Amino acid sequence: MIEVVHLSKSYGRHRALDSVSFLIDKGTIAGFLGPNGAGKTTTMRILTAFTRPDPQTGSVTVAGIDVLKSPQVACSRIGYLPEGVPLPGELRVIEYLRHRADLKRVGKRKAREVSRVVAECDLEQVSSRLVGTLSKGFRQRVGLADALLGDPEVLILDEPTSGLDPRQATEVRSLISSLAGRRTVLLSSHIIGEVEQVCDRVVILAGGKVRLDESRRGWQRRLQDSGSLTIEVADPPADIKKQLRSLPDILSVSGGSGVFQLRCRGDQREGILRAATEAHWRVLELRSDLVSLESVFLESTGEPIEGKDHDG
Amino acid sequence: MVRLVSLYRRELLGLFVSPVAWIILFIFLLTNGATFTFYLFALDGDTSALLASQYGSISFWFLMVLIPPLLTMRSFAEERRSGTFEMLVTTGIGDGTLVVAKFLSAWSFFIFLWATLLPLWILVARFGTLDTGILLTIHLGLLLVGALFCAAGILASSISSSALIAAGVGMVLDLGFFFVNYLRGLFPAGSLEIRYLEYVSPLYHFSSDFQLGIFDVRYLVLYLTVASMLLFLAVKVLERRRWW
Repeated sequence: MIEVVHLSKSYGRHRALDSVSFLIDKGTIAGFLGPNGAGKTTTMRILTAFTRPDPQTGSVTVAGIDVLKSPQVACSRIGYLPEGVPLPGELRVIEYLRHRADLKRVGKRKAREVSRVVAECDLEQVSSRLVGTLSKGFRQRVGLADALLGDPEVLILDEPTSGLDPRQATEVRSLISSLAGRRTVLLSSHIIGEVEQVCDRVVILAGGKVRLDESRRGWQRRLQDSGSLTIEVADPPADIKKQLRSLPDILSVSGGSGVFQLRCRGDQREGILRAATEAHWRVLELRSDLVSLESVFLESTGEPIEGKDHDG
Repeated sequence: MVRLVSLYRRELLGLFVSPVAWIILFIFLLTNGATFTFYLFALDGDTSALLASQYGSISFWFLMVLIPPLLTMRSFAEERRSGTFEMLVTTGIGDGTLVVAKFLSAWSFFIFLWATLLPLWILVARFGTLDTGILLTIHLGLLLVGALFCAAGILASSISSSALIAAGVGMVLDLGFFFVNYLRGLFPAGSLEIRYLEYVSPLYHFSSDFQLGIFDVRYLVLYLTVASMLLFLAVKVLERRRWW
């Protein structure tokens, strides 16, 4: 549904995208992660035919349409929400959506389509208000309603919850989740928790290159494969670290004074507990440390996400 | 066509709700009102020469050069600055439709401005002497020169991301057309160069033809052709910017 093959884009000497390739299947909600300047917005702008890639490099196909050869046809299949949701403040919400429906050639379905997106984005109460007087949350909803006009097969959302308070962000997220299955969604975000919560697939971009392109199952397996445990033992024997290291699938043991951190392959809690019982250790606590998508991100990019917000 | 009409209406509405447009209207009415009153007294009530004086004055050309760039400066520059340009282009609308819609809305507002003076001329016709033929040719000339200057402003706005720079470039282009007339003084009377300069000088067209009630169809071709060429260049500039 979205296929990007060997896409490159340079601004003067700066190479914003370097042979970027990824494939997002129909009905998938994909998260687009990466630090600032990774090339996320550039990729999205190329997908929506706003920016052209370097000549003679790669191909971009959206909903079966070659974006570079038929940009206007491709645009009609895409609903796009740019970063910051730039909207004209002088129009009323309903007037703005009608105007956008005209630009998107919705045709005779205009009235029905506008009513549908107003209902879908819960905009009934503000439909007659000027866009310029709306809160950021409602502006974001208007932008989403605009993207949904014409019932496009593909939605491209550039940081849709940026700047929203937690309640507004949760509402927008649940709205995006409700689109799952019906449309293909590419969602760029700085919020790792959001991507973990909403997306079926993650594409991590850094330095203009794809560092990771994996399904939810794939990244969860990766997390399981690189488990992390903490064990607290009262009056531990002197050679406890040696004993722990000798257990199967334990990669490393660190710490001391009764609290030890273990890196292991998969979830090894059962094996450790059995060994502890056999050796008569007084185990006070054994916990699996939370290893999240952030670990995968850090591993892929070697840097933390700017403005990351785990609570969303 | 639906896209063009919708965008034209939205642009025109945008002009009417912008404070810049109302400031322009204020300056326009003040300048024209003052000029009208001045010539009414200067001509000692001889209203037959009022039309030619009003539309041949320096204040008339000041407004002609000043207003179109101020109306068009935000067309693309402001859209790009605020980010709404991205929203527009990603609907799949063609660059040509965008340029034409923005040109038509600026030109319509320009026509609206000059139309606000019509009650003055109705009063002059009612209480004095007015040659309606001259009134007609002057307004036809106004429409054509306005189209040319608005097209130049649209081109300037497509080049720059700053509305102020766009207005400056637009004024320089308009002044270029204005000063063509004064280049005639550099050549001997009756020379071929002078004839060529007269072909492309709006100032000359007003003083030699429009103000005398003469309308030459060649002017229609000239102004519409050059305006179309400038709009075509604006489309090419927008296309080019996609590669930046």
